[in-house]
Amino acid sequence: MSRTEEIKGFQVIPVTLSASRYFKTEEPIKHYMYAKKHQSNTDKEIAERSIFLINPPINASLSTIRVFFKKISPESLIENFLLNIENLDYDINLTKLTSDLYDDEEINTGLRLPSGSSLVVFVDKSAANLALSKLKKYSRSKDLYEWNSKSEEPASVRFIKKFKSEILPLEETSEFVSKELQEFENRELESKKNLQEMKTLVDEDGFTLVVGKNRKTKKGILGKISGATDFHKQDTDKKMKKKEKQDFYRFQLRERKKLEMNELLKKFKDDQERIKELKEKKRFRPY
Amino acid sequence: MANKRKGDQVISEDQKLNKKPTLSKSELIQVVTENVRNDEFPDDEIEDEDEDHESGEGEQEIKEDSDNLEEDEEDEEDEELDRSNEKISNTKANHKNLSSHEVQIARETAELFKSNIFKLQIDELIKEVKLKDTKISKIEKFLHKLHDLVQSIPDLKDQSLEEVESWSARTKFSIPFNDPKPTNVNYKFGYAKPENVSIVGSFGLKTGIQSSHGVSVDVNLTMPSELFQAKDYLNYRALHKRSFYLGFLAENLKSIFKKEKLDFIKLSYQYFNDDILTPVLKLEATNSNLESEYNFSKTKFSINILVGLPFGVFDAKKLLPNKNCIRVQKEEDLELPPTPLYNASLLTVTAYDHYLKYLYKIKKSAEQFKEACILGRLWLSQRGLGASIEKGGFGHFEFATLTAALLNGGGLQGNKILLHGFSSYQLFKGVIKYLATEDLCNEGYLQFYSGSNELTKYVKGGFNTPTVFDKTSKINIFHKVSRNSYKLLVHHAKKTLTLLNDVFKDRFDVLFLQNSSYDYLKYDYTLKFEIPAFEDSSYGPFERITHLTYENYLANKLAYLLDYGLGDRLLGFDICFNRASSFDITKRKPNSSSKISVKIGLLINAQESEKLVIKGPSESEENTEFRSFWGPKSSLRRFKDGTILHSVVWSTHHAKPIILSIIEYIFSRNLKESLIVDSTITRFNKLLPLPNLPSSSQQSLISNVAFNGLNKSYDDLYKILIKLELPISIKSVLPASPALRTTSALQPVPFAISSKDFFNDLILQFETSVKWPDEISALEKVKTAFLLKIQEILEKETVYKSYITKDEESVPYNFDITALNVLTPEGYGFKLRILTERDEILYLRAIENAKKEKKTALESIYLKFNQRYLGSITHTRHLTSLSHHFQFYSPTVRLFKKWLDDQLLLTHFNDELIELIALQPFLDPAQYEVPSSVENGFFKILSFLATWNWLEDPLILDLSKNPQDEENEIVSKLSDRLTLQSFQEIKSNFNSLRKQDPNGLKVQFFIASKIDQSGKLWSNSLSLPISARLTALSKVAIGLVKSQGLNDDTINLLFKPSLSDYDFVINLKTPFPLNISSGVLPGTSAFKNLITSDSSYPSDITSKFDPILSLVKDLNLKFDGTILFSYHSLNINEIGENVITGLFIPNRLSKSKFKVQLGYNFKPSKNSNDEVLINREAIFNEILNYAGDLVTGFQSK
Repeated sequence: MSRTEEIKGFQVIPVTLSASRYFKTEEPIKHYMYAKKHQSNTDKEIAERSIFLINPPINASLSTIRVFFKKISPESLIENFLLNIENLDYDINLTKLTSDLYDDEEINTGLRLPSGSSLVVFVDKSAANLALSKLKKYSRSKDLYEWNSKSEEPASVRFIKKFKSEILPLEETSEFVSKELQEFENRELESKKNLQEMKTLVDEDGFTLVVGKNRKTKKGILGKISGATDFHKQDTDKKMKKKEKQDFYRFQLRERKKLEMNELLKKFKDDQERIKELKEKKRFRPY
Repeated sequence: MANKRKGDQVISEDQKLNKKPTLSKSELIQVVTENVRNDEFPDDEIEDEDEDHESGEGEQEIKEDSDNLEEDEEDEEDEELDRSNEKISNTKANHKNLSSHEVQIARETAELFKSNIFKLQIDELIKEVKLKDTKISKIEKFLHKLHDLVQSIPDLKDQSLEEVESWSARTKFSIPFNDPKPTNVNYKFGYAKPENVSIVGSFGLKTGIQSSHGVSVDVNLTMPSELFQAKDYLNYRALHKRSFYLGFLAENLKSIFKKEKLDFIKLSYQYFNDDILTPVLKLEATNSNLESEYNFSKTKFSINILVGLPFGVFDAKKLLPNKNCIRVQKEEDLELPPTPLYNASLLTVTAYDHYLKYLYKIKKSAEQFKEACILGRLWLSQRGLGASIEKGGFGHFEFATLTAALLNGGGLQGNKILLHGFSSYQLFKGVIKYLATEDLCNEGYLQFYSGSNELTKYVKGGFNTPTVFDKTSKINIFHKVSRNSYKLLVHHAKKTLTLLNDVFKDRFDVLFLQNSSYDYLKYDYTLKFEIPAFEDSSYGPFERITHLTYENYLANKLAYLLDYGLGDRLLGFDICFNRASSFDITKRKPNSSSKISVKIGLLINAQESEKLVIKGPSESEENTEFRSFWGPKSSLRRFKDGTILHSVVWSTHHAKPIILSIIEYIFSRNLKESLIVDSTITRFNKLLPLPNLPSSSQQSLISNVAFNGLNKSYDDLYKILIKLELPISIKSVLPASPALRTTSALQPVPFAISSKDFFNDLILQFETSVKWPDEISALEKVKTAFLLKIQEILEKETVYKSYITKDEESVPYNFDITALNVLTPEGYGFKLRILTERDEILYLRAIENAKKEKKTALESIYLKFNQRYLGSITHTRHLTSLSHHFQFYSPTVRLFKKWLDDQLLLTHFNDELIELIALQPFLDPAQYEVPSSVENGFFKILSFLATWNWLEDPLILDLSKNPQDEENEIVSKLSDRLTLQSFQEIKSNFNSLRKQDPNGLKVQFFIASKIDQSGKLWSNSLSLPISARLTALSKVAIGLVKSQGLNDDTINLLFKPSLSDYDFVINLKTPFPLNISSGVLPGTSAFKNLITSDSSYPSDITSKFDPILSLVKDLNLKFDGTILFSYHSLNINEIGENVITGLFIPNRLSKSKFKVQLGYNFKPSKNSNDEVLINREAIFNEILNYAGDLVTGFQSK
């Protein structure tokens, strides 16, 4: 049986997984990764020396990947391993959506990997190329690499440690927070300064922009945010209607009566329809 | 209808109207016509105008309406005169064009019935339950034959008892004589052609309906009066004669049937309505000889041959309820007690035909009487009520007779309660209202005349027994209704009246369509016990003649014991015996067993049920009854207010309600020593995990002691926080966790850090400030700075320990949220998050600014924020007050959560969502009572879930505390009830939601209340398979209980997960069990008193967290969208065992084209170039290796 070596330009890389004593199979279980040269327009420099790797095993990390490539292509040194398993939408960025202090470029930096894929960054271009060609060779070979899926410490300890890692160290957090806030304030200040300048500008028609003292950005003034969603359906036009007199003219009464009767009739028809529906569903069987 | 008008009056007014510039009825119709004319309706010939006016009440209603209009508009009369006249001439011209008929119907139903839809539903229902014509003709054919056959039976007269007995011995036919069997009598028995053969009962009245247990046709054979003497009413004589008549008839019919090749008929005796005095002959068709044209077995009909006596054969005055008609040996000075049951039975036997005539006459005079009776009948049968004593003694006949009586009066002066022109709905409602509001037992009774037109009157001064007395026949038609059954009947009527008055929801379903007679829904719990039939020495000859059977006597005795012993603790009770009523024609009576099994259904008053003390009379008052009733349990006690009373004190227990203790005590004292009373309630109560607190097993189920400890700790922390010196002061610290609203699955216990509810969310708010950053991540960082500051102060100045964690789960995509975890010295944990007035604006702004295709995603982010920071606070506030009000809510919701956890569902739902679902039976008990036991509450939740069609129906909760007593509440402006307006708004929210999402892919459970009109706050993130599974599991559970009943096995089964439904199951075990560190008292341990709870925090708090929680979190992250993981999240397993189950999302199992973004573990598929398949083996292996030493086993499909 021929093995699939390539799918849509991706190199298929099978590895075997170490067996678990609770799940035994006749043949060793194979796991498939898919590799390709990374292509990106934004980060040319990194792209050149990276391999795009889909479906790395669950415990893939910089160290396990290093061990793997050491076997495949010992000469290629790995600088970094980037992995996305978070299944997040890169287009959703609350910072950008709530403030206009940040420009698009600033936000959009960084890599965008689809969920379940990773990037192996090598030290240089040649190392990457070498690794890729070795991978090609490996995918043809019969001797499969056994991926080490056992971790050094027992899982129970590992998971407890995770809880511990969620506790933030006080001093560092404190430093980090003040640094970040300082930066935010600087941005705000700058934006305000720009705005004050606009205040003094007189446009062609002779108007100046009115800036309230709590306004911080220009967009904040121009694009007013209504903040209404369907959870907050407001009855704004109610007040208006209250003032009109509804029963002053006879024609109003007549109209109203007419509407009422039509409404009644319509409701009656609707009800009949509903009953028909219910009847078809055999609802009127009391037992 | 208040204003009845004569037709001609109406016409004259109408003519007057024509000259007046007002809107007349015809005008109204015309107005509508203008619009409808062009529509689909064909020219519907409408009746002549005059005829219209005569035809009925509906028109009068319309008239009334136009009269009102007339008054309103009088001012404008003159100015508008000309124009209107013009209009009217138009009207005349167009009059015939239209569907005015439809307008009338529409109008009419709105006035005469509750609503259009209600009327239409009634129409459909009546059509549905109508007896099928084909079946009727089939049975009628046989009935005609039967009539002829009966005529051919030869007479047999003047038989002595000896002759009768030898006849019986010869033919092997038993004569169903009553006890005591006649011996040594000097009167003669005989058979002569019946005076009259007639079909009586509902079939005769044509009010019979289809029913799941078949329809019985009552045929009455009236014995000729020549067989009786005037004195025969005494001492069973008439009844014995009747018994012989019946036996002789049975024997002859049997042989005639054989001769006529009708031997597919099976004959048996049956006590009519459980009345042992009146056995009847029951004919059923079997499957043999199906070819016979007379075989009616397929119709599911059966025939009861009643043997009646001629009406008025005895002097009815001698058979009044207060007369004695069974003379027994007595001592000189004792007066014989009255024999009301005997008297009523005997009179009833004489009145079968009489009542048929009476009801028939009423039916002719009141157009909708028949439909009202059908509604009544259905209403009764859905509630398990019926004419037999077992079912309460109030059945179709009683309902019809009461309706008939009320059509002829019913008030104190005989003023009419019901009018002949009423619609079926109005008649039905009128009777229900009468039952609900008039006391026919203690305060007064109803008297009517079935033989004349004299007015029905309500007479003050009751007989302490339910009474509706027919002055003509001298029968109390309520004679089979016991006081406690009457109480339940009134209860049902009251509930129904409220439902009928409900303007919010369509209550048709619960009124007529749902079977509401299941014990586990109807009663809070039931008791079962057995008692020997012949040992009771208090059942003497006098008791025998008053009560006729030991069961009746026992029911009466039990009712007294329960009434006296439990008083206010019960709202009502029902006593059943499973009496044998059917027996073979070769037997004289049913086999009597040596033991009587008794079942008592209880309706509990939650406010009173767990009170410790029963207060009796004061020291100086008469106290013998109290003292002798309670015996050694009663003692004199001084109370806080200084009074000294005889009283009885009980003690609480976690599993055994006080009521059960009392019942066991009084039953074993008064019925039989050490009587074992069996009830499932203790088993259900035991299912709730006990908190590991001192003497928790001696706490009542509804005690809040554990929660109070936590609340105290919260109060203390609050006091400290509010005083903190910060740049901006704290305004509020609001609770937002299950344990703080008494709904956590496990009760809070100090230092129980493994419990998933150990950390209680608190939302902290500062005084208003404009300085909050206008960007989300910066805002979170400012909050963190505040938390750091609080942490610093707490650490420095108090004994509280605290640390900060990042919180990436509360709101997705907001990665900067942090929380301050506080450990109080008392051993409780709190998690503080900060809310500012900026947050909501920012999230809403994000939605606004987002691209169109991302809006939904951002909306769910906003919803998450809303859940954690806003919704949970209001939810907690409302739930706290509701759970105080509904005492059994907290334990019920805890049991429900435990069930969900046992079924591996708990982690998929928000606590809040579960709590709202669990509120349903408490806030909207509909035809039932508010649950007053864990068992009842639990089953009502399941039964609601099993029947809730969430695709079509929203769940709208009225969070007010007294949803039931409406009248006062609705008027009051202070009422916290949901208004009709917001109800409609919620409904329209639901409709628009379903329009966008008709298959419920996004939101399945729409649960709204006044605090969340969107209806999806808590259910937005749910997935369809999970919601469907909850419904399916509830259906299975309810189905199981319906078919197998409640016993140890079914209860165990209910709480056992069905693991075979999942694609794979991983068995796990934590290094050490976490049950004790979750605050649960082990149930099985033999050394309960050796278990010491922790009294301090471990040096590393995380060491006792649940590693499986962390594992599942990782797995969910990695396999999001591919596998659905479930596990038990309450750490109550005593050896630390757990399972993780996985379910592959179905569309991931099929082949797929290779794509970079697939996002799951796949392998190349064989023989195909770019198709790939999910790699199940690799996934299993990955997971098992990842879970490492926690795994103890694995199974996959």
